[in-house]
Amino acid sequence: MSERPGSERPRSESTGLRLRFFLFFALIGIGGALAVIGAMVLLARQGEALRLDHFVLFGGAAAAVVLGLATWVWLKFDERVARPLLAVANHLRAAAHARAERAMPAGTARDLGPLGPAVGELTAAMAEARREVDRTIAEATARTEEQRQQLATILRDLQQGVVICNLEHQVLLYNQRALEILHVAGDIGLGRSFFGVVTAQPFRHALVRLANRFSSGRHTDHPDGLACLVIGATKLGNYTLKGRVSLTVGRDPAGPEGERAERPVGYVVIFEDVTDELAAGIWRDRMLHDVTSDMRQRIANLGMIGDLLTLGEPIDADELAAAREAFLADGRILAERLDRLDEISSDLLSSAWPMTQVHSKTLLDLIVDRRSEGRNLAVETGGDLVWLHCDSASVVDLVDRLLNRTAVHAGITTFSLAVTRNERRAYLDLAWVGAPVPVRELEAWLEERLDEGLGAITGRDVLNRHKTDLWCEPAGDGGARLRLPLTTVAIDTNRSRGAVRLESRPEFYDFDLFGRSVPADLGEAPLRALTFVVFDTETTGLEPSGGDKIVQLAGVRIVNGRLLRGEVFNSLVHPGRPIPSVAAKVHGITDAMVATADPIGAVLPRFHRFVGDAVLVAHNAAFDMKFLTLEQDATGVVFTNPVLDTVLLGAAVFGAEESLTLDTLAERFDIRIASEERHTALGDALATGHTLLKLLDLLEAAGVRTLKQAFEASEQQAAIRRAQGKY
Amino acid sequence: MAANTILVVDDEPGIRLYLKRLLGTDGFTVQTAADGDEALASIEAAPPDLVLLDVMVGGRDGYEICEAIKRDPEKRAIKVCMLSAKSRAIEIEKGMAMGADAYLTKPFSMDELRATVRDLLGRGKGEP
Repeated sequence: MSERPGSERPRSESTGLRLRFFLFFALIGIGGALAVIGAMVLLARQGEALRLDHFVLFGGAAAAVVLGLATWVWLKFDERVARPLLAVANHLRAAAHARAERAMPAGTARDLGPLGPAVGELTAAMAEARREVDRTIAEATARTEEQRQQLATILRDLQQGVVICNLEHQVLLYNQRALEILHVAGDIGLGRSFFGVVTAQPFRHALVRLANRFSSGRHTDHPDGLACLVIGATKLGNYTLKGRVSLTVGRDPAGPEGERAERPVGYVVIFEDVTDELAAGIWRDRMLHDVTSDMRQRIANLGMIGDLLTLGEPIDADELAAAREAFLADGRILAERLDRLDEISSDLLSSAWPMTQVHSKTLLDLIVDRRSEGRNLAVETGGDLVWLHCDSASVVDLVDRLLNRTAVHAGITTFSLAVTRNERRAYLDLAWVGAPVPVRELEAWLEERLDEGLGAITGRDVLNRHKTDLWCEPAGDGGARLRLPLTTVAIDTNRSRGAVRLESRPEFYDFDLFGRSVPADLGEAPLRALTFVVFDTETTGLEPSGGDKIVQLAGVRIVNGRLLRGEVFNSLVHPGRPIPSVAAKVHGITDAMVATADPIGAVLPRFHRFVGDAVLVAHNAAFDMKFLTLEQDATGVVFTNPVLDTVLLGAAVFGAEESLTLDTLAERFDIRIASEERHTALGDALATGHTLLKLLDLLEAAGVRTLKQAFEASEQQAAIRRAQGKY
Repeated sequence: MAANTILVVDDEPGIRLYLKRLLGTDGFTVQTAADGDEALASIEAAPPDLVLLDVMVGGRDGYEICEAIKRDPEKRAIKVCMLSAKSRAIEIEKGMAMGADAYLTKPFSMDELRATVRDLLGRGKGEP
């Protein structure tokens, strides 16, 4: 293919070829006519027998016949050769660059002789070769994909948030937990700045420290290597984050082979929400301060009263009563303070121990399953269903130990196990028919070490960590029970604090963004490096200026040439007016479906955040943009993003005379959208997104590589369509 | 009517002295024991009407002495009041579950002690 300026080629090629054929035939016709006239003139000079008017008559007629013949042959040639040639060229181009390897429509190259079958064989051979390559690639990437899936699963199940960024702080990867901790509802987005969701300063500070550590080489023997602790905050809600920032180091791809120096390429942040922990710590510090502040004074008071009473000096009854009163009051206050201290220290102890919410039934089932030592004990469970706050592993081990010891001690094989609750706490009761276990025996059991898996802890340690105790008491007729009080808890199932839960999808990955940076001048940026939001609207009608409104708005993100199905915006919109049945038939959205939907004033700001600074793309973008801009005054949301139109880009590739409906383009590119998704905003946005990706391939081959060039190509097509009155 | 006998079991000599003086002044016959074994021997030799029992007593657990009294049919009638520096609700509950008739947390005032003792021994105010 020739290397002519790309943006001009599609137009000049489609009209130029036919023009050249036309000029060729025009030359034959005019030349033939001139030759006939010339011959006549020569004949006239040599013989007088012929009359001049006959010359003119026959000469003119001959010239007209030649001209007419040439015109007729040209018309046939244009119809049967020039146009089919262009169709074949478009077909080949689509096959070559957009991988649309369908057979040519029948009859396209009927008059081109063996060219038609040859083109068919070529595309078939190319398709086979590509399938072979695809198979090889698919096999080679299958394992990578599997590992990627495993990584995705691990990341999804992590309790910490994980975000990976490049040095421009663009997010390359995040897990579900990160969204929850950062309290964002899917806005974080691949390719967007991490500093859009967290306060930048602590992270910048950590990165500068790490960069210094790296450049000075100190990281090789630093205990933390290339990582350091960071305390930051979310931008939404100002939650406190505690995490580790680790610098990622890679080889500089720009350096000469063999001498590529290592350099930082990005960083990984692993973090958790410590807002509650921090608040608890602050509260504890304040309590400790309050409690201990005047203890010394109270003790001094007691000492002085003691001295006074033991002086042996006479003291009257009133003074004695006052001293006694003060003595009792100070003693009482000191005791209260000590109780508070005891509580705070217990809190400290138990907060260091991992407590979780466990359902009573689960806990009892776990104890029954645990039955160690193979004694074949029959354990019947029951009681109240209640959520308990405890470390189930150590409680299960403790109760299992008590079960076995009691069985041996009392010679019993049948027990019942139940959780009962009162207004203050729950009790785990292990009951049997027989005598209670003596205190001394029970205390000895509690001093034994439990399972080694728990570390060297005793039953008493488990009780202390749970701020509880245990006893054995007579129960019912000749029965006894071991009673273990436990804390109950009201479960908060909404752990994500209102953030919307997204489906975890592997598209959250895009390691190709490493090493990418967005050039300052967006226009010069390669199309492939841009972030696009491809969107579509469904409306109450086709007249935005006539009061028609949006009923559905959907968008998909394309980052680094990949359409991310995991990052989708899709919202019904209450149009504030009835949906005409003719419109409802097209998109299937009825008044009932939008009855509870948000109005555009609520949806558009969300969409604006979703779009960020991406390039907006739509099929027939002017139509959709008109709806958006008409809402500008009412919502205050202004879109200043660059806009591309897949209709104009399609025309730049295939020529303005081709059919450029979304259906045609999708069919041409072999893009399949489920029929139930077609004519929904999301389905059409997806179809447009895939079409854009195919068009980008073709545009690139035609030399349209930057956003500026794409705008120029679009502008030319818009001018043609304006001239044709189509737009 | 013979004076009621009270056994004070506590390993703190100061507390023993204080309670002996105070309750003696009130007209009770007061015995003391410094640890669990001594206490059980004393109960065996001459069962008192009330035991003021420190939970953390040397030799044996206060709960154990309480258990020994309350699970012996012959001694069950002896009233037991636990005295403890432990003031958590669960500890009080445990003491009552072990059969104690009352539970006093330290520090307690003279008046609280007197009221509790009277209550347990079923005697009216001002009557020794």
